[in-house]
Amino acid sequence: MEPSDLPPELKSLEQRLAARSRPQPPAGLRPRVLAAVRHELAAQPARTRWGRSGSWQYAAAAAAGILLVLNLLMSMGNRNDFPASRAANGADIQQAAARICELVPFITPEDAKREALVLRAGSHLELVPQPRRGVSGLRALRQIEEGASWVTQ
Amino acid sequence: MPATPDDLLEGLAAGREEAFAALYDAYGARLFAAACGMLGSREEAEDVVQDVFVGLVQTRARLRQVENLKAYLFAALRHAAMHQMGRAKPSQSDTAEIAMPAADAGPDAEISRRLEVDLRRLPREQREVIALHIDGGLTFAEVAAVLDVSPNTAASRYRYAMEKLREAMKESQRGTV
Repeated sequence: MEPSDLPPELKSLEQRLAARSRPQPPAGLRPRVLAAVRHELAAQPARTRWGRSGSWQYAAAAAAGILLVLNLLMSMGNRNDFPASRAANGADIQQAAARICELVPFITPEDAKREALVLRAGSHLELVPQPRRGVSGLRALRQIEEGASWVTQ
Repeated sequence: MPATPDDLLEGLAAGREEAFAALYDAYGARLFAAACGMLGSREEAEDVVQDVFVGLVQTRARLRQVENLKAYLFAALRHAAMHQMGRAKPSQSDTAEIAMPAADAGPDAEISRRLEVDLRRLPREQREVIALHIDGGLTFAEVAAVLDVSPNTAASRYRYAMEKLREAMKESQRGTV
């Protein structure tokens, strides 16, 4: 729709509206607006610098965090000298396996090593008192006090 | 003063103060008049015009992508005016002084005053379409861009507003007779 599409009565009202004297901005508004613009222009680069340094700080903190996590992961990955593997590679295990091979000619080296490991594990077992089957708790304690036999498993 | 609208936009985007001064000289009066039409208060209109310029400084990096600076400016004005209406207490806007030019006097002064009063009684959507088209000098395509509606919707809203204004003026005349 264009203004010319308005009926004559509305068109005359429109002309009256357009012809009325419109409020003019006060003379002080221009310097006021430009002073606000100047102030904002002066404040914004500072904010931008702060924003940049803030983002650099964030990036540095994120990089430090990533490095820390990587370092932890690498140290965990490198720490593979578990007691079992150390024992498995130990000289005593090799000697025991060789001895088992001498004693049991048909055994394979892998089985000999496994038996050596089992023997080594068994040698480290602690003696644990175990009450006989069917003995109640108090009686079991009494048996232990009386020097009943120790059973290892 | 920038030679072309593109120069003006480039100056604004670069944060050159003289570009903002040129923008005020080109659009300041129309922005103020439209703000008065939307808000009905000179003081609030001054605040809103200042808010528009401060907002332009803050978002100046985006100005290079603006295709129609006039529509962009008046859209910013409308946004600021709505924000101002939200800030103002209802009692303030009801009793706000009508934005009449101080020098307006003569035989048509009473009619003009009544026109302003009746304009103020229109719903906000109708008041702003009249303010944008009559006071801001925007075409219906530009009004549509500002209001984010189709040009047909903008034009029909304007026509409906004019009909309401005419009815209001008739009632006012009946009341005074």
